[in-house]
Amino acid sequence: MNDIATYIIFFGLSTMAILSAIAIVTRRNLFHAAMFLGFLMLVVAGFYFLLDADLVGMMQVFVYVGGVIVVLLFGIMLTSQMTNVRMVSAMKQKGFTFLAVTGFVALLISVFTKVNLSVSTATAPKDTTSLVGKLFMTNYILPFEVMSVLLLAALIGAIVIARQEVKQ
Amino acid sequence: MVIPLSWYLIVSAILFGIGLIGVLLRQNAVTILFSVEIMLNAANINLVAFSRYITPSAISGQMFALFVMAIAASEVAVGLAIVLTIYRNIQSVDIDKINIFKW
Repeated sequence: MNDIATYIIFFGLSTMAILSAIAIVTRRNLFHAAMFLGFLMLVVAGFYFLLDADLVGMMQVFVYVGGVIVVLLFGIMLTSQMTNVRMVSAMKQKGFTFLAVTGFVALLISVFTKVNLSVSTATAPKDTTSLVGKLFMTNYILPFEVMSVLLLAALIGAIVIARQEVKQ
Repeated sequence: MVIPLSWYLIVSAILFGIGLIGVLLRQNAVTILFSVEIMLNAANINLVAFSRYITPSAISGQMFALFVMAIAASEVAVGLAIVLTIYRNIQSVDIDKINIFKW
């Protein structure tokens, strides 16, 4: 892939990501916001592929677009009235919030442009899937097991919280 | 590697800022969940970009990104269950009306 094409892909992905993120935050219709969120997840998967992270990109598509978005859509559709939330923001600190967040992002950007990180020129491993599998079973075995317990706890917890209470 | 590392960091900082504005200013609890997802994805882009540019052979950043994804999935499941329960009890997901935790 030549340099110009990489630049075009990067700027295209960045533009789509920022525009869809703004759309998610500003959209009043929750269904549209969920669709934009799915699109943003796909764009972020594109970033991962651009960064030679094949498995993470695939998992992004599987877990987020295939799982999280479907769960969110179920939640939106199960509560038909949910879209009828009061639309006008009553926050008095709106301007101050914008100012603070903009200042924070500007600070981050100024740090990122000034700091000089020692970038390695080594090439990325060709087959990340087998490497990730090996690392999960060797260096990261404890976090991996803790994560499986956490997922089980989240599964049971979600059912317990959302189930209808039956009065005796 | 023609794109500098800082460009990825700038894009993810902007995404994080948009998600932060959504969390702070929106009234709808589900939109706040969406905004948290945007912020988690911005952090993930950072992790993968650092992993690619600083230590490409040891892919620890990608491992962390995978862990963050698992956490985000469980967070959505539990968070949405909480929102559904609140909706069933007070017929609203407006966070200004959810003040029963206040004392």
